[in-house]
Amino acid sequence: MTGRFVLIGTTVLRSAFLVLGMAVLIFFLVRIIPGDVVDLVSIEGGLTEEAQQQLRQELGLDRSKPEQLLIWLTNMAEGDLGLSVRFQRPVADLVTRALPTTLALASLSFVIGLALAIGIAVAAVIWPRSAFPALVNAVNVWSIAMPTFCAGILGILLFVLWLGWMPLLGNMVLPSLIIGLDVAGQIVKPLHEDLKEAATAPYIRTAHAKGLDRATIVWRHILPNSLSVVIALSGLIATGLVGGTITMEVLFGLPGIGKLALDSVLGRDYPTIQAVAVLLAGSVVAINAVMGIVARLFDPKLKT
Amino acid sequence: MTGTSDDPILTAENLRVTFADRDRTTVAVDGISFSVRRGETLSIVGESGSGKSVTALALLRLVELGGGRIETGTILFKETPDTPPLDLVRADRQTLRDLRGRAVSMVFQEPMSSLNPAHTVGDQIAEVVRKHEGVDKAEARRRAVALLQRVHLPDADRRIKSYPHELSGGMQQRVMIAMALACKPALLIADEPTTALDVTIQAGILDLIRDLKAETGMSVLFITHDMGVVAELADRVVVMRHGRIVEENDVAALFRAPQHPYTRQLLAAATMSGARRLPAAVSTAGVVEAGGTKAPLLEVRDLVTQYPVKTAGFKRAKTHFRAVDGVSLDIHPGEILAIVGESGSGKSTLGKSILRLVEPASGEIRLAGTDILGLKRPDLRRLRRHMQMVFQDPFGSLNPRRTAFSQIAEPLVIHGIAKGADLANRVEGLAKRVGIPSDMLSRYPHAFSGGQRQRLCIARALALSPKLIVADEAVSALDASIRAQVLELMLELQREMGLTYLFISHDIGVVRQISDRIGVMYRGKLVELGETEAVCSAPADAYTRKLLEAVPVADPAASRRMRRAAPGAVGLPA
Repeated sequence: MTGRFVLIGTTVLRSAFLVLGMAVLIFFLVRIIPGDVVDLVSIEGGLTEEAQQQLRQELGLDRSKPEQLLIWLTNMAEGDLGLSVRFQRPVADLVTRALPTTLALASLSFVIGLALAIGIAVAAVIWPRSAFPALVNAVNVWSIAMPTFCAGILGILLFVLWLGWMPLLGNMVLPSLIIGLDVAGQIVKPLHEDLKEAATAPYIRTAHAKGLDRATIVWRHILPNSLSVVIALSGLIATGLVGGTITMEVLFGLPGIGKLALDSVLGRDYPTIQAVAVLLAGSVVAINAVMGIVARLFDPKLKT
Repeated sequence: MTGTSDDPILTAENLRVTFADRDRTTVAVDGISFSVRRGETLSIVGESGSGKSVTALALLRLVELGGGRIETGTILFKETPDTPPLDLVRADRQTLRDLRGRAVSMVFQEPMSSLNPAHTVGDQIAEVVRKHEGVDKAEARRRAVALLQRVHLPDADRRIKSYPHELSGGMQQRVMIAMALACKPALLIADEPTTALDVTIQAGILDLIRDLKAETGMSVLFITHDMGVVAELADRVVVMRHGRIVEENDVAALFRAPQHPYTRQLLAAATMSGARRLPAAVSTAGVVEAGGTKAPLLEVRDLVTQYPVKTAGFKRAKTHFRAVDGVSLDIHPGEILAIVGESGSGKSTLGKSILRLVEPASGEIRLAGTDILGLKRPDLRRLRRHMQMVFQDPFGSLNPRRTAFSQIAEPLVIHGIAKGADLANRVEGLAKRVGIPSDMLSRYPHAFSGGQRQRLCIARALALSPKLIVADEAVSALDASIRAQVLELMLELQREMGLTYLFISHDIGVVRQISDRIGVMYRGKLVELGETEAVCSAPADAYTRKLLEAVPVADPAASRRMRRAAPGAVGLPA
């Protein structure tokens, strides 16, 4: 029992340090892009030198970089993400409005991917002489060879333009399917291999000797022992989703975090870029931490 | 008990099982016929590769899981005397599934890997009951508890929530048996169910199977390589070799008058583990007489070797497990000292500590007067010439990518003792000495049989003309007939070269044939040490007695007498 608390405690602590380190890194990376928001605004609005100075002062851009960093970190710790110069709104507001779309897209894609992968891999083990083993390879090769943005464009061509089955803007189904297929392709092959391996274990022979049918044997006896593979890969894939959703949001005009990130980068909107980048980095760290804990707790050998 | 009738519960006729590889087909079982009579215990006995396990797996068509194919034959199964016979070879999957686990159930060799690590043992037992009797969850759970009580698993209520890895090997096998008995099968097939267990645990499991059979009247097909186990358990015996049946008889008749030479060989190998010693083992060195005049070759005093125990969290381990806990002993030149004990007794750690392959925590080890524990690395390496080790797994201790020649030559090369033609001569001489023809020396380990591999290991150990050889379970992985040959070789070498052996084994039967003295280890301590015959005929320690009693005696009459004498044991027809 105490072992479990120690595990969770150390993981949380390590993750917090990691996010802090990345926040610092992000802060400086953002400032590598030439030109700040005042430059952009003055090109558009033709501000005088004096007005530019004043704006910089207001935004704190005239202070030294370390000073700016410290102010930003302190504010963030207090829950203040700052004000978006570009959109004239609190950054927190922008983020909370964009977040549900991204979360919905990511979780829908993930569930579709997991269901596809487990379904196909299990079917391929239950019916080894059917078309399912070939499907395992097909889906796997698809996800390796086909970048999601290409698949997205193809999907738009096929389902939106030619077949006319669905609208382009605000479409959630098509991007979820495209990312889901990509996710499935990454899990299905290793899962299938692991299931085949697990199927040769002596305890599977015991299960056959008990008179169980193939489906029960695969679901109850083989799959639980292969779930660690799925969990280990899920962590990797969930972090990949963070990137995948950005492309799809941009392509399908979905008002999510990805779209917000792109717009704020184009607008040199430091507070928003920083907030979004820290959020994305933080979620990757969080996913890994959770997966690490789940994998440990799932192992019956650590359940004592 | 009503005894056996002539009504067979299962009849295999002309059964032939093959395994197809990419380019060739191996015949594992070559047209055998036998039958299991209702209510009897039939034992199929044979050495590795005889096809006995394949036969067991073929009966429920489980052999197909491993790529085996039943080419010809019939397996007629009659669940009760009145049911019409059913040919299992031609039965469809549905019929087989209904039979498996209900009418015919199996117990396998490795209890740990035969239980699913992801489910509790209670769930795994309940699953069979639910599948075949359609009872609800609560009832299945109640039945699981009752079954675990029936196989004498202590604390059954709590144990059903355990995962397999939380149980000992003996407890796991009891769970497997409970699972097999769940639906009151008419036939129980047990494939080497006690081979992976310690001898005292084995005795408990054999008793359990015998009692349960007497209670339920089920038929038992018992697969084993151990003639001692056969004598204890079987009514009739089928002897298999190279996929064929060479002999079949009642157990008493088979042991009294074995017909086939192979059966005689098996019996000879097994009965050697009785009281008689190999003639070669008569101590020749003349130093064994207690407190002999010569100084001991090896002196061990208060030796302690411990391993850190891992604790949860990120704290460093603070506690230690004492694998060897204050052991003192002497070995005299030319003597064979055997150390026996069960798994976890610390006997292997003792052997490794003496060679300093693991670092002892405290104590003293002197080889011919030199303090081994005080030596620095280079001196230790020089001293190791005089102490060599032979391990249990001959395949694992030979490098698969080097020829037999280079394996034997390596110690000579490392110590800079010989090269060129001299080296070749020495290696060939050593190989010849252990019975490996010199034209085989250019081959790689996989081309040798298990017995030959162990001969290579012995030749390698002998290359440096050591004084002391530590043999750690050196013959345990070998079949009985091969084991006898390798032991014979070791004894010959001892006589000719004046070797001294520290012979580590779990098998007090083997040890008894060859050793001058026996030391018994239990939980890291040496609980008894004395002349072999004295220890075996009049053991002073309670644990030694238990160990000796647990060894199956390859004599049906004797083992049955013993059982009748034991209180609560079940009598069997003479």
